[in-house]
Amino acid sequence: MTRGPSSLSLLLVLVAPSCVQEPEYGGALEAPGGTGGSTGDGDSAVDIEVPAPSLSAEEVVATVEAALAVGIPEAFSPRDEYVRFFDEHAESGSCPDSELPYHLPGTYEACTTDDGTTFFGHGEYQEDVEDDAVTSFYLLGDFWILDAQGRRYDGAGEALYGMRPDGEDPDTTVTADLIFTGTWGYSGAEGWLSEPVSMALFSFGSWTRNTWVGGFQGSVDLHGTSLFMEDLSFDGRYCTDAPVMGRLRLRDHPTGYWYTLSFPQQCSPCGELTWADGSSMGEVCVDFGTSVSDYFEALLTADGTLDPQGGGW
Amino acid sequence: MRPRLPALAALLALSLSSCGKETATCPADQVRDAAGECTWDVANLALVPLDDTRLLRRLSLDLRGTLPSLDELQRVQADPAELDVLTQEYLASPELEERLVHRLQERWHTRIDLFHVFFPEYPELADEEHIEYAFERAVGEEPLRLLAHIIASDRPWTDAVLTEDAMADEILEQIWPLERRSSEPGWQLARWTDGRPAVGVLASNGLWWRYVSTVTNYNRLRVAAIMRLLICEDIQGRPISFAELPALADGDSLEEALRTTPACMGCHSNVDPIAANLFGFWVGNEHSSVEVDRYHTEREPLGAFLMQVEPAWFGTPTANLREMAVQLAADPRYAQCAVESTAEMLWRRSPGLDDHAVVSELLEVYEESGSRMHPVYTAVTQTRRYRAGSFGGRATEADREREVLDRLMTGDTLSSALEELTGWTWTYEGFEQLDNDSEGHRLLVGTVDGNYQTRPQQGPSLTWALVHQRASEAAAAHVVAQDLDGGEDRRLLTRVDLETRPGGEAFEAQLGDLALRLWGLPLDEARLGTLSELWTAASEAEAGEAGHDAARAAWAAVLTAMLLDPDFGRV
Repeated sequence: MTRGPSSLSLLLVLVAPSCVQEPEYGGALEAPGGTGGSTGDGDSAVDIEVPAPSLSAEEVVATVEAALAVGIPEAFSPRDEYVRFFDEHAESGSCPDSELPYHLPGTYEACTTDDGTTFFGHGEYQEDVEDDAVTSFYLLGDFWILDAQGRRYDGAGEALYGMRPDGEDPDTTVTADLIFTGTWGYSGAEGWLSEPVSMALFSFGSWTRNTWVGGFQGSVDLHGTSLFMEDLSFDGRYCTDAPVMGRLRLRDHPTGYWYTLSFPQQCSPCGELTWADGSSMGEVCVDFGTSVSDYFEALLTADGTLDPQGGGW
Repeated sequence: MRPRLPALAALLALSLSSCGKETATCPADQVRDAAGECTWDVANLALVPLDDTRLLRRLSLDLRGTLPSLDELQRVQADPAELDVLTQEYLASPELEERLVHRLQERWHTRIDLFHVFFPEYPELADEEHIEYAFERAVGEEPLRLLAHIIASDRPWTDAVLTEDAMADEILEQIWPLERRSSEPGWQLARWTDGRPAVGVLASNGLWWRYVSTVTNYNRLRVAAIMRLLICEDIQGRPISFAELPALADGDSLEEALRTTPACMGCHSNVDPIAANLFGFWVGNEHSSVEVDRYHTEREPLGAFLMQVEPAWFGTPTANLREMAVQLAADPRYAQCAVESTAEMLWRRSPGLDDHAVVSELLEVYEESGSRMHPVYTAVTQTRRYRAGSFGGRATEADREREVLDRLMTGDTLSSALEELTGWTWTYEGFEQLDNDSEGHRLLVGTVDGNYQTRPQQGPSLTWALVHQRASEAAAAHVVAQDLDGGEDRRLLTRVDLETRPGGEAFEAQLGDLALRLWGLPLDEARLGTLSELWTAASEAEAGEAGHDAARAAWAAVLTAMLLDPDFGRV
């Protein structure tokens, strides 16, 4: 039995330090050996209890619908504003100080035009034009622009848009995709762009049999509502404004956990809502309004400048 | 079987009785010298401790960044037990937090001179005069201030990754989503207002501005920082065999290789799931203040999608960054690392295999104290490794290679010590000259900048000597002008005036005070003679001038010489 010696050792440890002038750690125990420590193999893992959700199922739906009503961020609005600032306010070659078109050179000094528009940072815009329509563009943002009314336009990130004829599927005339990342907002704009919107959103679509098919993958924070779209797919041929499959997730800000709304492959706006711990909160239905159809029609018509059914390109 | 109480009592009595004989026998490792005084048994020791006043000097510089006062030194001279009392006073002093900011920088490397985002990007700062240095230090110190505050206020070290607290000054409150809890000037406790989780330093902008992840690096560099800083695993130091890798022609094939190639998986099977927890800090443009100022709540699930791994901490699934932080704080390596990094900070070297036993005892102190760091600091300062001043007869070659006994006074300590001693500060256009390299001399004076120098310089160099000399000359001139020209609040030259000359009682007493204050040593006859000669020679060199100018020049020369003495420049 070892209890006796252990107690004895403890007593000695308690007594001994009072006798030495300076307590010294490890003074007599300098045996060689490894520094030890855990291998971090998970044996120390803590069981974490997921807190209760702060929203009811109805509140989740209302929050999602309110966010979608703001509009899903397409890249045409920030592109248009960026181009407009140059076309209407820039002073060629002096403010911004660049000979390149639609280019903010990235110096650390802002410039202000005679009409009171201030440009700062680095921005680039390039486009391809076919049949007088912009069929692809690239917008790079690390800039801010203040208009004469003091309203600020923030461009941070990039938008990469491409639209092209589809030569493989006889039923499909065009395909388009958009990679849109960063934070974009202009307080002088309307719609989703009127406040900074943070996102990392990937979308793709095609014009097939006279209507659109498309999907989303990624994140968007719509004026304070954080959504994540996971393989969220739509097919205008069968069910306009209702997903055919995928998942839509909403962040519960007070807890930092996520709700998940899973849409089965039924072309229905209804699906099961689950909380972060896997528990079901019941079946709910989301009214997507026209947010999705508006988005894909813009994506597949180069923002209304091309007729995807018109052929010719 | 119960322990036999009578036997224990006898043992206890024996132990106690030995205490009473301390006046007759010397403490452990000491012997009586010819004069009958207890002194270290140098021949039988590997590491010989510093004298008490030199040890107090080391403690004060390490824990406060300033030299001990004359009163403190005299307390220790009168009673060595005061060392322990003063150690606790230093740990409770307001200077500790400021000092820790600089000491933690030696490991965390966030006080760099240039970030991806520069102050002119903020219209509210762009036109401020002399804002550049203040901006850079505010950003770089933000994580260090939180860590220093936790240690200084003796909160559990687990708070470092679990607290909702942040630290902010006026600049950061202007530009970042931070709300200070007090309107008092300077650094204050604060909270983030953008929904980022309560994960202490892992929520810090300053940390992630320093450890930048590019768009396609997916936070992996940040995981390397977490592992190095918080569990003491240097994953970037592991060898990589590129011969075993397939051709990495593009990003997609690279990502595929990281998931499937054994040579990659050894690290990435752990790194990538941790990185997947950090996507709230993943940005579309790492140069954009709009992007890097904020935490992006909506991007949290992106990691699993982009990296095709589920978030985890070394095999334990995690739902978010907060859960990862909880697992991190519970990981035994976290405690071990806290102890080892504290030992490294105070020993000025990394703990090695030979330190296993000591580190194990320090770990016990940490655990028994409920993860609080004051007991650990106390314990480390009581180790022989910390207190050593020279090698004894039993020092092995390995001891001599391993231990750092002469610790160089690098820029931050030199700056704070000189300011407290003399009132002199060295700034230019708002830049602290010993604390930056944009306009100053931080690297030249051996200080960790976090980019090019990642450990404090161990020994003197030519540039260190040059900067030290300029600083000493300027500080000496400053204090002479201040103390000898009628100032009421004298700092160093308290016993003399412009009429005092060598050979007098006041002169010698003044030099005695200076030796104790600057060097932590009593003034011996040899040094008294040398300094007196220097005073006279410097005075004579100015003999054509009015007498008072000669006295000023002489005192400036003596003070400069004392500040340049190796006993001042080493800790």
